Amino acid sequence: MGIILTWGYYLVMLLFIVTYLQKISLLLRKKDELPAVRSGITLPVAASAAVDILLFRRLFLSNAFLWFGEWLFHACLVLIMVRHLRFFLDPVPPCIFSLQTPVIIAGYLFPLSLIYIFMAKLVIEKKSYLSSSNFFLLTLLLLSAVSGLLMKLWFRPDLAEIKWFSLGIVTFSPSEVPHGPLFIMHFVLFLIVFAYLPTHIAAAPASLLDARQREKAIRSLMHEK
Amino acid sequence: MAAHLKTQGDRIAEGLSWRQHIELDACTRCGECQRWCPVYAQDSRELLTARSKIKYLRKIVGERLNDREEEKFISSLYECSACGQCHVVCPVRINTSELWEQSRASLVKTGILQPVSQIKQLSAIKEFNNSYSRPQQERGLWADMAWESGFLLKPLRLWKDHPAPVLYFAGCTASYDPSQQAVAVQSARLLQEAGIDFSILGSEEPCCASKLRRMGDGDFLREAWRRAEMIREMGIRTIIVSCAGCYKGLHSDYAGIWLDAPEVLHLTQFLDLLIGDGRLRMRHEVPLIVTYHDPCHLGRHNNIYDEPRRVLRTIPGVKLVEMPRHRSFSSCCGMGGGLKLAYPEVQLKMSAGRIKEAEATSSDAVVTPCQTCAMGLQHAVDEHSSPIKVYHSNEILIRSVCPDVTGEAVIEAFSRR
Repeated sequence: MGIILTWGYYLVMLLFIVTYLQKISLLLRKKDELPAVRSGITLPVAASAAVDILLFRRLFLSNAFLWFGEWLFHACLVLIMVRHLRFFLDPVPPCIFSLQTPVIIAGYLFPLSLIYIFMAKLVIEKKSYLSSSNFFLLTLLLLSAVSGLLMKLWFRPDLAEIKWFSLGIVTFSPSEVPHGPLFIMHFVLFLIVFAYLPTHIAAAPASLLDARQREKAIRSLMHEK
Repeated sequence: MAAHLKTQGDRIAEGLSWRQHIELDACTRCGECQRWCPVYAQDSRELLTARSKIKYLRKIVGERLNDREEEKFISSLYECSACGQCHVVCPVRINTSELWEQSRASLVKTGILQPVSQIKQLSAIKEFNNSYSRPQQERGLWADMAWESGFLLKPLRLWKDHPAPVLYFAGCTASYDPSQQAVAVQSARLLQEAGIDFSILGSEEPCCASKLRRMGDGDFLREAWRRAEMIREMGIRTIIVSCAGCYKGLHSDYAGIWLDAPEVLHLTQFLDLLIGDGRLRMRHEVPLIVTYHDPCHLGRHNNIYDEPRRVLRTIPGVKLVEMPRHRSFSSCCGMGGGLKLAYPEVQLKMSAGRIKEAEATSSDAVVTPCQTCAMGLQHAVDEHSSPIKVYHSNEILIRSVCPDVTGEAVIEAFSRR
């Protein structure tokens, strides 16, 4: 089983890298017909884009109710992901250890934020607001969160075994999978989520930065002489 | 790749900019676009939403779209006013209006043409240099008629005779459409009242060709280059535009084309400056409660929200109230993006919805600085016998500055000629 999961991990990572390389090669080959109007990445442009990216400013303006759930979910996800690095790093940087308390809180808030998003989209909007892909992804994340919490609270696996398994992946020396179906489920769910959402992670911040660059360029071209 | 080996998907992919390819990947299908889309509000079909269009666009670029899906995607691409509401609410700020326009142009390159009604108008623009299929010589007639009818303080001078510091660009609708020529006349009169030294291009004025961009015509770039070059050679440095569509064209669509960009201002921006400097004075009270409709091409697309409102607020007697959806969330009236040509019934529903919003504010009139929006809204008022009036913002201003140049007076005087 350890071998299968390890190779599954490599396959997903390979897909991730190939998808990115494909996108990059497509972008490098492109010659735009219309001259692009974009400013350079100046400090004000970068700062405003950073606010858009980190605080989801646009979503706040259009749907403050949903924004709360989405921002909380993303913040918790980042904290949890960073904290999970302790399984793949040896020695573990002290900064990751220092996140213990916030990550424990984030671990509880994470599934709650997902339920909040489900409720906001299904109950409050009432229309077919929740797309099938959104539904699929939210379900995967919720199952992943629940399996993680179950391991944290009731069905505690051997952390040393998990660390050994994770280090085996990054050192290309596959080892036995930790005992218990919950860990396998948790790991497989992570692989599916990762495989499902590869390009959005980089494309969304790029899109937000681009919008700010364009705004700045048009303003300076036509008004700020 | 050899040209003959290129597939349809390859050609469409080529048409999109590399930033647009990133945007296709950036969509999370979150559904905010659906929640705010004014077209979806008329006909709740998922197909009409931005996230659906992006899904299909991703598929068509990747050659995974079957014939049925392709047909659905194409119709959804044109059943859209490109109002940009989805761009405003998109959490990752996908520039949807540009994406739809570029997708339309890319599809045309693969042989998938626009709806026939749009093709007719595009052909007229290219053949007659205006969307009304009228002779170019008639383009400046409004100026002569306005002077002869006594609506102007002095005759308007042509740029070729008097290259003034400012050029007033009337646009096709205000030049040719009898119901909207008052906009050009009132604009000129207001500039004269403020003592501005300006000229017009008269029969030399070109169509801005922005409709070519809106509807995805492949000749847009060539036509726009030609016009930008003409304006550059003339040495024009400041252009005042009274049409929101022309403003979007000359200001934003040409932004990457100008070699040495002139300053392009919408009339309301310029009047706001003039009023602020005390050069344009309001003389008469206009006792009206009005609500302001933000044209997409000025508001969402160019961030012009405050200036027209400031202008209205300076008019004595005018009380401005806002509709629930205003500024960047203003509901589109459906007149943009060629929607009215292809789907007139959808446009009418959208306008009617906006008129209902305006009625709910208990205003006497809905005011907009875009003559195209005014036409669309007026159509809904007529169809639904609404008691609310629709005015171009010039009309309210002129009633305060020089009430003898009302739209009604201009239409009557011009119709006698």
